[in-house]
Amino acid sequence: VTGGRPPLIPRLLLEVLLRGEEREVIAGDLEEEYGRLVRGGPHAARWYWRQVLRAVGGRWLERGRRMVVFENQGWKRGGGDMTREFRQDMKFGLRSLARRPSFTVVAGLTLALGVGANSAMFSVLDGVLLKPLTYPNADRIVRVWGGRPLSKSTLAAIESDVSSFASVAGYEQRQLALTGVGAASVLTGAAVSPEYFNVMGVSPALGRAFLPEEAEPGRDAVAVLSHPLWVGRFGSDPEILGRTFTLDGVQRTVVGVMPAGYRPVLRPWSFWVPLTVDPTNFSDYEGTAGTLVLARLSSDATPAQANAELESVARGIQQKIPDVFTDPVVAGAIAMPYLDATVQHVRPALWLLLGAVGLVLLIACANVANLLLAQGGGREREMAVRRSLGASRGRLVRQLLTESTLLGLLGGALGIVMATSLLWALQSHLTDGVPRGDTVGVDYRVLGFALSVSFFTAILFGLAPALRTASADFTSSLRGGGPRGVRGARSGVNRTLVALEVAVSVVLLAGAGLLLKSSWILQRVDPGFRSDGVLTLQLTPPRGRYSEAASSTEYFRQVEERVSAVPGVTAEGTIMYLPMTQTHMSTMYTVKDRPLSEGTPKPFAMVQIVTPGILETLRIPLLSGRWLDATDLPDSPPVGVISESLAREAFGNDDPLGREIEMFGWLSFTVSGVVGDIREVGLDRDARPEVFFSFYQFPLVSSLALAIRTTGDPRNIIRGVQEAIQSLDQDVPISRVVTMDEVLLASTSDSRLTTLLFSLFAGIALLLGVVGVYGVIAYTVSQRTYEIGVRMAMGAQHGAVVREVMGRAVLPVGVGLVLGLAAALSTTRVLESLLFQVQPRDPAVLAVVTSALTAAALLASFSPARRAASIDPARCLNSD
Amino acid sequence: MSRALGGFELLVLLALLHIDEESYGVPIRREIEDRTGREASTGALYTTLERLERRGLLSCRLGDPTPARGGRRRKLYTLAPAGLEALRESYGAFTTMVQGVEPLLRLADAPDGGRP
Repeated sequence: VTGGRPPLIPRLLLEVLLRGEEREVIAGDLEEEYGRLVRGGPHAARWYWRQVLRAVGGRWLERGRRMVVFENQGWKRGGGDMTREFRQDMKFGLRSLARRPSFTVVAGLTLALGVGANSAMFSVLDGVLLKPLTYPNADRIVRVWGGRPLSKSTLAAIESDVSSFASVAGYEQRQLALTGVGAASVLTGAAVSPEYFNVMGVSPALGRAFLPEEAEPGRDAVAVLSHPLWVGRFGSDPEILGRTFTLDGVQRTVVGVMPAGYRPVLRPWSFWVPLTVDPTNFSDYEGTAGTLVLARLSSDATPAQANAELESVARGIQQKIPDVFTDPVVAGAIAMPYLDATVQHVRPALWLLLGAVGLVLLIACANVANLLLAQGGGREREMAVRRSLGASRGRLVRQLLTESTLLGLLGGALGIVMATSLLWALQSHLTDGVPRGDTVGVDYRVLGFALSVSFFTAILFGLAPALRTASADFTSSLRGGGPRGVRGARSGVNRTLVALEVAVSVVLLAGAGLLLKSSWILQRVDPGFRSDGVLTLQLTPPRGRYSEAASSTEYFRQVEERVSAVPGVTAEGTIMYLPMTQTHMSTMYTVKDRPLSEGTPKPFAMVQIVTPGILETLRIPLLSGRWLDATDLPDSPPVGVISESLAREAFGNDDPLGREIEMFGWLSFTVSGVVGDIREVGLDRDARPEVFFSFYQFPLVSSLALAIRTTGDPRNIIRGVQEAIQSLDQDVPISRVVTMDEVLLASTSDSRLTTLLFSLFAGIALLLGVVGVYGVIAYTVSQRTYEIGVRMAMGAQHGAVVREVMGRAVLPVGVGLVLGLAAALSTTRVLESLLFQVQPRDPAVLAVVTSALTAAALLASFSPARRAASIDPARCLNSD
Repeated sequence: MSRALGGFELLVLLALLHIDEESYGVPIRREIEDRTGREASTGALYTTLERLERRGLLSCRLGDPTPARGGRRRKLYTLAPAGLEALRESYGAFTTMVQGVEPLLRLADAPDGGRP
């Protein structure tokens, strides 16, 4: 019937969409008629198309109708057939999996790795990024954010001028000493505007929120307690309202208790006190930028409207007070949905990790598909028998897919176990290092995700092998003996899968390599001080007891004296904010006698208040002049020591010693010395210009960190130091006792977590890739046993066989490497924001990754190659 | 078998009576098309054949593959006794219903029937 065959596409449609006998007779009829028609003219093709579409459509409609409609016993028959068939397939699949335990275990574990890692990553992503905040209408809450806190005057301007906001609140996190209720301790809470509770949409469960007048200084001696604090410290006292307690040495009256379920986004606060606003206090109102601002959009406003208004507020502020204080932050302030503002810094890393783990799943699928294909080789006979007994191809495909779905579900179930353990292992990292990390867990959403991923992968890895196995040429299989040569087509699919696995592994390994190199470099960054051998702790003398500056300085002087007597202590000093702790103070400065040219923004410098001992304790190098010492007191001329970068920025090549700098609008000091730069903000950030003042000259703060240098392990002196401090005053709480090394380590925990997870995923990818290469080569060898046997019998050399078999791995691995490198070169850019001093296309990393993968692939193919070379020709030829 | 035959079912069964040789899909479809001038779809034909078969009105067997069909087999149909009975029943009902109204039908048929 040459030339008489119907058009290909509709013919294939028939093949795919109809089943069994139905397909045979309909396709046969149409082909026969087409053969006659074709002589009649070109309308034959159109006729054929029309007939096919109507046949297919009609048959499917009929099939659907028969499943739904009672027709004779149509329902029972049709429905019963389907269920019976499904149940049969399930039973058959289970039996078939149980018959091949090693295959089932390997494939199940491979899938479990993929599904588990994906579910774990998804639950993190879901809990942190996707789940809405739990406050009422949380999507209306925005954070007004310019990268840094705002001043209270700016807060006031936003409150009065931005009409898109229904309510605006400022807050500042506070760590205050709780005394008189159990052991003295430091509680973390917040000072908030009275509007705070309206912004969050939550009011106290007991009592009331703050009244507007309680934001005035002197009227702010009230507090709202968190539910856990009320239960834990006050024994759920029902009479709590009106009771007074001492916070920060100040008597405060409890006016409310928050509901049990309420928790702020970032950390569980224990108390809320009013944020006082005093427009007459310039330094507090306009001179300090420490307030974070939240707002609730009014019902008809959009964030864009709010942003437009914020911009005009910023312009207004700049015109009002151009010289004294310009809040540079408000200029870039934007209203950002609260959830976004909270999690934006972890968003790229999380999506990246989910992407990475998705690639791992892809490799796992390729591996299982490979295994199934290899299995299929052994099952051809089984399928041939079933087909010759009348099972249709579609029936066999459905049955094989049921089997792979079962496998997928097994992998999914194991994967959920794996995800739970992975989350458990990561718990402390998540709680400390990731916003909302403590709420992450396996819930029904994660289960749903795992289930769908399992189903999806089952189809992904099962479809190709199922189609191939079910349509195997059954006459040749039945004839017995089986194939003796290389199965060209199948090993082609295998090798394509291997190339894919290698390519994906290259991408993941390249990413991991870049991140590892970056964190390696990061760990070698000189922070500008020595952290080893240093213990740190936070001392918070209650402000009520130590309200006089003199009493506070005296307290710290005595603490240092007593601590220095503790055996093993070689130096000690105090500092306002420990480096790398994410809190710092900065302010604008001007160099005296050097006016800024018109329009130049005033430069910023960070401010540290320290006691003289800190230089020796942290081993900060003094570059010139003199360091702060005991002679710098409130009544002596104000001096400050500046950092190298401030000296360079403010004075260029001039000698800074003896020059004067102005700050805060009220302070003018003489530069007495220059010290080396400290990376205050983080190892990956350049040191910022900085000024050090003596606490004894400027006792402006009440809570200070004490740093103690010792000769041995700093943890050994914890007890001695605590006793020495408490011997002075029992009621001063000691908190955050950690070594400086730990502080440093914690500062990079974010990037280390990302690096750790990415490397873990890349490691799994490498493992699966190697297993894949091994599997394919081993399979090829097993298929070619006969051929190799013959060649050995003909005198082939041992080495030649090994080389030849390993050579089979070279092409797919090589193709995979090339594809992977190309993909890596074009995709590692997405890592850029996470890399420190490493280029996304770092040649060294790519070279290492390439050679490592090559070596791993060769190693994986070596063992089956050796097995091939040790084939005993006599035995192998006799066996058939 | 009390359910009356549908229009297309009737056509299919009658086509089987007309065909002398082996009756399978192709000749049945041709018969209907040639006699009624309506294009019948193969899909619909088999849906109907299957339904009639399930009702026991016809019986079938698989034939041999032929090259013209791309090596596929034919399904050969014969009218079962129940099928003949059903046809008779339908015919009886039809003639009873038609009695006395033939002239009207001829009239209604006129524009078409008048065609040469």
